Parts: sequence; structure tokens; C-alpha cells
Amino acid sequence: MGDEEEQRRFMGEALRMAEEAYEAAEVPVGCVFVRDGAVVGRGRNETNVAKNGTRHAELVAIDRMLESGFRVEDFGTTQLYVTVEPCVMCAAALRLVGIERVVYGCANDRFGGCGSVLPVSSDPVPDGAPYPSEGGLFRDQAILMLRKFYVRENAVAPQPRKKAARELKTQDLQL
Amino acid sequence: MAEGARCGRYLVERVPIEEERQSLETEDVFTARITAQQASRILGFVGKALPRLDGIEHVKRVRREGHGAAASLQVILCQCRLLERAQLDARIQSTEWADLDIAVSKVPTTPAYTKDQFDRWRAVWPVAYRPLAKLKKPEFGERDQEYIDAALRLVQQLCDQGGGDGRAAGVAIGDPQARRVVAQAADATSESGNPLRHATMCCIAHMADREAGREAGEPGGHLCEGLDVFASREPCVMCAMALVHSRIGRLFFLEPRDSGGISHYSIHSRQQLNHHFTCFRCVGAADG
Repeated sequence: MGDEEEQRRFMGEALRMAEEAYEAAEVPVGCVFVRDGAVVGRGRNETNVAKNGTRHAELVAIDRMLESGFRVEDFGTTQLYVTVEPCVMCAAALRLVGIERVVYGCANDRFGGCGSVLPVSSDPVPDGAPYPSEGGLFRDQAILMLRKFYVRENAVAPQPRKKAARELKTQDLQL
Repeated sequence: MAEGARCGRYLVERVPIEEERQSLETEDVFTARITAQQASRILGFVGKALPRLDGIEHVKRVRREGHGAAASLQVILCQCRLLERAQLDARIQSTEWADLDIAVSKVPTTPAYTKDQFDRWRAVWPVAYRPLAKLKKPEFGERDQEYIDAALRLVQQLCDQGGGDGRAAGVAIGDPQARRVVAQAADATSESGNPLRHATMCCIAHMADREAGREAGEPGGHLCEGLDVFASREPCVMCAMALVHSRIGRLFFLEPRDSGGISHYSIHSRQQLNHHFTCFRCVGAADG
């Protein structure tokens, strides 16, 4: 499964994808797919530019991987590193492709599908196969990125809120 | 599902929301047995000296036990999770209530939203019946019925055209104001080799592509906000959550599935999620 140093390297790459999303005014979530110790796919949130609420980092990466010849059956020996716990939709999609394992940074209290809102990753009932997931790697860096995004005004939202008074809180994070 | 409305050849029934499917859960409260004459005085004391009821406002404060001369009342003092027994004893010790006969009783944790819940809840402790005002029986006007009937027929056709491998499904997105279908898609997992290309995901993508290509000033909307989705079968967990992310208004589906996002998780009405939609299960008439 790779040692800790390797895991940190892959999550670092996922964080760089999240940074790219942030620079593009997208919700800063990024991911990489890893097989045999090498990155085989990357994605970051593209919901605003696509005007499609389902273009999350994981689905963007999976679509590109399959379009460029990655075989569905190879997901069974592929791990996902994603900065934020996959949402219910993505957690279900990862079952459908048969991912081997998921490592995420911070929990997703609003939409999380690896236990925070629903246990999609481990539940025997939904389509596809359950998979192990584990959170916490570079958690604070992932949270900081989200906070930076949410103190900024989201001009694409139906009713953008004025956020001039908002401050970026970092005291509780270990960075 | 009791409330049905006929739309052409289909019977359309609202799928219960999460709250209506809630099974009985209880929590412990301290209760005291009193006489009818003591009732108003003790309620005054409870109001001043003990923590207010938190989250169980649907529970009646007093339960009558027995009839006639033998009748007694049981009154809720406070929730066990808000005050320990020793603290409770300390607060009543130096009052006229020091000799109260205190017990622990169970009360339902959530309100009763359906008649069935009401009957089961009140067998435990008396509660108020709170049918949700937003959940009226569906009423569809004549033009709505024609629109829904046509959209359901369309998704059935899309499904039939989809290759017959048992996975094919058809989905359409409709505008409830204009009462017309604005996008449609069939399952594309086989032809694309991508197991995520379910009909729902494809249909949402069609809407997004159109929106991305829209000139400024042309009519359009944010994601699929307020739109109707028609599906030949119940969306899976991925697709049901995609509909939440897309902010749809209503979902109509034909074939239910135990592993689906509605049947298994009530994704249309999960209280933790930031968007909810109304969901209807539709059944073709026997002669359809």
C-alpha cells in the first residue's frame, strides 16, 4: 500500500490539484489516483466552469482516465488520494468502478459518503463493491484551503453573499 | 404510500420522506406520580426549577393513568440527559415536592408525522400528532397530468431502446412551468465503457452543456434548480445524490430498487443534506 512518506507525497499532489481549483475559483478539492506507486489520474473540482454540480474532482479524474485508455478493471488495484472525504455521489461512483482504497484529508460534514453523512463506502447494499477508507492525512491543509475559498465571495451562487467582514481563521489548525 | 393521483396511464404516489419512515426511538425522562389537584402547582415549579424540554416538544407533559377515583397523573419533570438524578433530588429536597414518587419513563424522541407513527408513539407516551403541512396529497391539474404521462412514456421508450442488457434506463428532465421535456438521455455505460454514464448523469450533463453554451440574456437557470426529473427506474445512490447537487424540484420514477438512493437512504429528504426534493413513485396502469 506504500509507506507513510509515499502517502504524504500523493496527498501533496492532491493538494496541488485543490490549489489549482482554488486559483480557478472552484471549490478547492483535488485528487490523484495511484496504481503501482505511480499517479495514473488527476482531477479537481470543475462544477462552476461546467455549470454542472456533479463535476467533482473524483468524477472528473475517472472520466479522463477512462477516455485515455485506463481499464475499468484496473481500478481494483488503484488507490484514491483526495483532499476532502468523497461526497455521497462520489463515494457511490467509487463503488461502481471498484476502487481498492480511499485516503482522504478532512471529513466532509455536509455531504460525506465515507461515514460523515452516510456510510456509502462500507454499506453492503448499494451497487458496486464496498472499499476501505481512511481520513486525516494533511487534514488541516485541506480545511485551510476550503476556508480560504468560503471567505471569498462566490459570484456564481444564485444569491452571492457579501463576505467582506469574514476573517480567515487558522488558530485551530496545525500547518 | 397511500396517496395516489392518476396521470394518464400512470398512478403517481409520493414516496415518504425520511421523517415519515422514522421508526420509534425513545429517550428517558424523570416522571412523578401526582394527583390532579397538584398538577398546576407542580408544573409551575418544574418551569422555574428544572431544565426545559429540549427537542421533545411534541411530547405531552402529563399522562393520565387509570379512571375515576383511582385516576392519577404522571408528569414529566425533565429529561435524564439534562439532569442527573442526584441533581434532581438536590433541587426538590428543600421544597414541598421533597417526597415525590420519582420514576424513569420512556418518551418518543421524534414527532409523529403519520397516523401510523402516531398510534405507535402514543402507546409509549402521549404525543401531539404533527402531519407535515408541506406533504399534502399530490394534486395534478389536467395539463400537469398530460405532461407527466408524456414524460414517463418517453423515459420508458428510451429505456426500451437502450439495448436490453437489463441495465438500460431512460431519464428526462422537464420544466414544470412550461410543462415540457427539455433534455433526455439513455444509459450509456455499455457504449462508452464508462460505468458512471448512467442516464441521470448523462441527462444532467446535457443540461449543463446547454447552459454553458447559453448567450447572456437568453433564458436559463442555475444547475437544474426546480426542474423535474423523470426516470424509468429508481436512481442509484450516485445518481440520487447527483440530483441533490443539481437542486432539482421533483423526481418521478417507475421501477423501484431496494439498493436505490431513495429506497435505501431517502436521499431526497435527508435532514443533513442541504437540498431536498419531492419524490414520486409511478406505476403504469394494468391496461397501459
